[in-house]
Amino acid sequence: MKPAPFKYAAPETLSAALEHLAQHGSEARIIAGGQSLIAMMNLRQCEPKYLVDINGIIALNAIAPTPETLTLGATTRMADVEDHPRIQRDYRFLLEAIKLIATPPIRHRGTVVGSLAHGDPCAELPALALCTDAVLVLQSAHRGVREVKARAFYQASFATRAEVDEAIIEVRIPRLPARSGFAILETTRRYNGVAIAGVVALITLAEKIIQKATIVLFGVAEIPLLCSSAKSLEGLSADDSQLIFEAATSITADLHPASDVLADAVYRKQAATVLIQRAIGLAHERSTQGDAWS
Amino acid sequence: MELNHRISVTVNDEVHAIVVESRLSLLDFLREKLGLVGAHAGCEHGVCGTCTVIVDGKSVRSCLMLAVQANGTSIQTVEGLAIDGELSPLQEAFWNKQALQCGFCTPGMLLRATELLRANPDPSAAEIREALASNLCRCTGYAFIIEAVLEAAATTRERTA
Repeated sequence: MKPAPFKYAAPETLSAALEHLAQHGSEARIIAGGQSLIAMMNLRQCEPKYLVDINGIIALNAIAPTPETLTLGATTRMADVEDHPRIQRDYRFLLEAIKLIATPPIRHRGTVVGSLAHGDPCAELPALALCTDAVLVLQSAHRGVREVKARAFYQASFATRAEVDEAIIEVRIPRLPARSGFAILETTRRYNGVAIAGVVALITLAEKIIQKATIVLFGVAEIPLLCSSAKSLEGLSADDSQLIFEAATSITADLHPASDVLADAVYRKQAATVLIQRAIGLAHERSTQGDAWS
Repeated sequence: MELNHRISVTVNDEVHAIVVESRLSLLDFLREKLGLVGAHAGCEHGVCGTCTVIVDGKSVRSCLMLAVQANGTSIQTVEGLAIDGELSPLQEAFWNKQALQCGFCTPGMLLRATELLRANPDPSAAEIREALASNLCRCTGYAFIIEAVLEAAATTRERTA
């Protein structure tokens, strides 16, 4: 047995789960898919005293796509999202991100909301949530429900604005705007490994001209970064790769990524720049393919 | 909130009711409580895939699942592949094609490939590579493993035709 000892409960109702969190505060953790949490517990990087398993709470297992928004409950597994016909049709961008996450056996258990809650700075889904302006719905036993934009949720590496007694009960992901193109790209040492640098790009176009550009970088800072300097892409022709590269260089100019065992800061910055350029190219190409990417 | 839990799990069609500690992984449960040592303990943080088992029809890392979370599930391990001592077509193909050297990754490879062939009885080599990307092998270079899965797929299709 590798993790430190802990007490475990698998309540059948959300209110019972929230009661556990209210009672035990920072000593308690929620477990959904557990594909990051149990790994960290096995390495004793975290040692919760109480584990609240929410997998038995049927109300949290919803997949609800509407024409405008996709709502995913806290226990919705990545593999179930991948298999959902309506998501395959209307929310293809989400599948693009999920397919970069580890491999199918991990996605069989791993959850979308779990990844958002975990706040790994190298993770794909928090960056996607920032790019699409997704909304997280949090609930606690005594203060009820509140909504937080993903763009305001991440504080530091593995630290979010969720209070210790709060659970994310669902995420609402908007559909992409019309006439837009989307791409998520990352650099990894091995197939679907940890991102050394990654980018989520969403551009709205009129003909070839970029009207609006949303760029989120991951793996290059403490939290996923929504780049305000992405404005420098606006007005450029999406197929002018030289000008796009110059704009990408200006977007990453102020980055100060960490150096670690995977890559040094200079490499990370260069990778991010090149990935932005490639992502714009891919997003533009896809925007010409009609509805498939919106 | 409890430290210990009574769970009931069906493993290779046999029901086991046992008390387990919260922190016991499904992997350690299979190996230490049931004596099923086919699922191997490799990295124990979800990277290598040698602990792969099939839970309710889907491959999972048994090192990243708690035994208590397996309560009420039906599990297949590598010990459940051969029937009455007769190797499954996939195991036979691994033997024929020398798809293993040290054998440490083999249980995970077999189960992941079993799952693949259930969903896709006629996979291409590329689809097999994609599916087995979840499992590390440090001996073979994978070539013979891919060949073995292709052979097993062909054999199974012939037998069921």
